[in-house]
Amino acid sequence: MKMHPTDEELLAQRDGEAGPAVAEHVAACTRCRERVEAMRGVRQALCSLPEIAPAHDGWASIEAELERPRIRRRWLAAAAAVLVIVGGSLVGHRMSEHTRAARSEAAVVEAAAVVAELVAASRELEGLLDGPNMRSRVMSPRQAATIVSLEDRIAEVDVVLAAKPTELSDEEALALWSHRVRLLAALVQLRGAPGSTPPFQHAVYSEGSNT
Amino acid sequence: MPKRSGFFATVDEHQLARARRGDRRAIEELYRIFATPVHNLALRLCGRRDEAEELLQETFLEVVRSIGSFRGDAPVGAWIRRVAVSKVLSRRRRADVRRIEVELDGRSDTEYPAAGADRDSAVSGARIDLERALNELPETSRIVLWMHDVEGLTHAEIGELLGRTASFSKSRLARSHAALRRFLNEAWSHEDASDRRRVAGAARR
Repeated sequence: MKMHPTDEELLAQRDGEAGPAVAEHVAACTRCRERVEAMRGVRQALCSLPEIAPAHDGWASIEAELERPRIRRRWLAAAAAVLVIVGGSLVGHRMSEHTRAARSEAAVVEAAAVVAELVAASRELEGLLDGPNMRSRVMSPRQAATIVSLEDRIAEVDVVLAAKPTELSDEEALALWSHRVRLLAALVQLRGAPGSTPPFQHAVYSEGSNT
Repeated sequence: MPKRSGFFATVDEHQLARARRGDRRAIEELYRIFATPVHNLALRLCGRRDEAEELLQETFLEVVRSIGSFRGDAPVGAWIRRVAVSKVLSRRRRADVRRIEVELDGRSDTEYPAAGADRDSAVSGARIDLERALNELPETSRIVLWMHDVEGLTHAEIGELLGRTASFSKSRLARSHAALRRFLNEAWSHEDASDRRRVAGAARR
């Protein structure tokens, strides 16, 4: 190997996982040997950081939390509220009457029903994203990066949802679908769905136009 | 190799069996053994003490509720560590949504508090440099670095935790080391030679 190995290859060498070409290069190259040593030093320094104990004994508060009746209904209401807030502000009239009714009845709905609502909202938002009315416009690098980040996060949620769909608890499924809906809603808002007026648009369009 | 993590502390077999049956006192003993490793892990991954305390509580609430499903095919500490990491990642996803909402509101992203704002005044200068550098890393990079270099997880295990691939973990680890190197070089360029020796000594210990 004539070229110096990459950091990734040098880390593999540090961890004893590099191939023979990298190992031979490092053995013969002072610069790379020093880099591997430095990487080893960083690991040792990280391992030598003090283990920090919690400031308080938290067991009493954990027990107190466990003694409280499980506030399942309140949790479900919160999940449903997320749906209603997101749906109400972004999808508006496109959300079904049934979804709106969830606001008042959220305290008593079952987890499966809320998940079904979230799945439906998710599909609706995806429909908006695929729709013909999605505006195409010039974006700042930051907005473009935010879109990539949102799509990245949605993909992460999808990985979890696809990997263990039957092993998820009701709460996990609710949390994941709520999260997915919020991310999709943010994506719709960012890409400028019709009917929504994202606050950031005012800022973008007013830039340089207030003279 | 990384030092043996606090998550691999020995747990009495009978005590663990009682905990798995839901015995609250036995679970409290698990808390006594693993509270510090969980808190430390949460603090290193998220960088904030207040969040670390909350994550410790969330983790053990989950431990109490789910220990019946722990199969025992891995050390219980490794299972608790996994619960703790999942809590950190779950919180990170929620924070990510809040961050995006802040951006969409047109406010500056500088409104987020800097990670690790509350420092332990007792740590040495070299450690402060390293801890500051650690907290400067993007959160995913910090998680990969800590889980690999300190907790000793493989790239495949980290990839699975993050819903990514082993290659992603390898690449992030390399970027983390490069970023740490840059940050530390910058910090050390403002220090005298004795400080450098002190840091090097801390690294060797």
